[in-house]
Amino acid sequence: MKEKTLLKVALICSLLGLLILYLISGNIEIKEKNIEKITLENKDEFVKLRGIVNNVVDTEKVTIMEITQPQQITVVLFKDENKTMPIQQGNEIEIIGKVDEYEGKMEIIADRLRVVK
Amino acid sequence: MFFEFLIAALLGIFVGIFTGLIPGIHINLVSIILVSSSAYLLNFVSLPSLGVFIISMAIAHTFLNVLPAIFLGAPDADTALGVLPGHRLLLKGMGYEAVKLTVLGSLLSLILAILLIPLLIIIVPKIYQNLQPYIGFILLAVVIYMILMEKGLDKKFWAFVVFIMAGILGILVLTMPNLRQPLFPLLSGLFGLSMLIVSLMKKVEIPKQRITDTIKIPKLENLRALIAGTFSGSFVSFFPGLGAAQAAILGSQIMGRLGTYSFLILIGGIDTVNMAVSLVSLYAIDKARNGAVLAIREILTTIDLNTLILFVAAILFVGGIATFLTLYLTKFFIKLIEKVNYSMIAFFVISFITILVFYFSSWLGLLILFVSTGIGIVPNIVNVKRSHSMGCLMLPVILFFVL
Repeated sequence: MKEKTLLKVALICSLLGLLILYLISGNIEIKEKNIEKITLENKDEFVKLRGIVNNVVDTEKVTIMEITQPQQITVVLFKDENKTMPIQQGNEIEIIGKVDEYEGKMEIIADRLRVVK
Repeated sequence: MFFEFLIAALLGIFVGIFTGLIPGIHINLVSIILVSSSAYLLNFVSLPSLGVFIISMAIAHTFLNVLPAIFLGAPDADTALGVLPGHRLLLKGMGYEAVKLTVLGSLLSLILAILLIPLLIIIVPKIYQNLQPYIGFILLAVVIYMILMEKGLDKKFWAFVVFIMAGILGILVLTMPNLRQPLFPLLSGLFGLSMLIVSLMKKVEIPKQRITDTIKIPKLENLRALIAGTFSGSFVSFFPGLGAAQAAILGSQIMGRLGTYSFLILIGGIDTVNMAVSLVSLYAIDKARNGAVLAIREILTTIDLNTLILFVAAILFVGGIATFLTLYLTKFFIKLIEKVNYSMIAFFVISFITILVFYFSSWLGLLILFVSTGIGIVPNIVNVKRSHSMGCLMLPVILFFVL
């Protein structure tokens, strides 16, 4: 095989990859969800949601928050060195996390949490 | 999101260049660091972007890791069997062709594997379910066949001895507690240092390297190597404990005798396909079969079809770029190797590997390097294939499945 042919194949591959990357990237973003739409069917799915912190319980290893949209859901944030951040009642936060069920109630195990204001 | 993915892929390629070119720096190491800092990184980037970064790094790594294997005799597990044919071509002034053959194998097998992904998604769960109980026996049959293929009773005996010695060493090394990077001294000794020492003893000179445009390989042989690479690279990515090293043994045996050119195509193909198809294993049977995919699973938990397509797109993009990069960097390596006396390079590489082994694995690593180098020289003395030294990884895996 000629080197030019190999490089042409490589170029086509890269361009095709780039095109697919462009087309699929719109479908990848984790869509923001309303708390009311989170059901048992969403268990283990990653969701993104925004809400106001209603109540914070801070322990050594975990922070448990109630957030409202106005519907309410529990968000659990397991602490490690990198995840420590001050969250106060009244903060507006954005969460990306996995939907889980605890004692029959839906909750979010937060992976990423950002204080919006 | 598109630009975030693009930047993640480009950064992955950048890191993949380093992990591919520097012996002993494995993608697993970077993946572990990434997983442990993912909670922090997620403040800036999305979850899938981290996955794109990891898979881009891993694919770029599989293209570039042949350079230290062929030019320096410092392979990792995925390229160990490519050292000898690659070095043989280097000593004929065909180092560039050797790399080009592995790149050809990587890129074309990758395309073939991607085309097969829809089929793989359907058949992987069935293959996994039906073949898992027999995988140890399949590998055992391959090893027996490999030993019996040596000509004469004498060589068969030595092939068996080399396999068992390397196997026992492999078991000891892989079960040693508190040993960092156990594969590095093991494989560097069996395939790298042993070859360099033999070359030094033979007072090998590296001739002027030629850079040719065309490599003539019979189309059928090329196709056989690509099919074998795609098949065996995919096959091993479904099962635990198997990797590119076992796939290379499997692939080279199932397609019968392959020439040096075809064998290098096979080696290049297996490594890249193995990495790409392991994502299908994650999607279809929810199993992570290597460090990079394990890191992706740790970060993403599960992948859906859209995410799989995203990763395949990143693989295609990176595969193309890595082809250009590898060929360009090979020309740079050639200029370097032509300017310096081979004995000096060999001596420098031996010292460099020894220092790295000491850095990663301390005194115990040096002991392993010493013993594995000794075993690695044996095939050269008794004139049997060096692939029997792969017993270091094959025997532990066979015992894991059979016992």
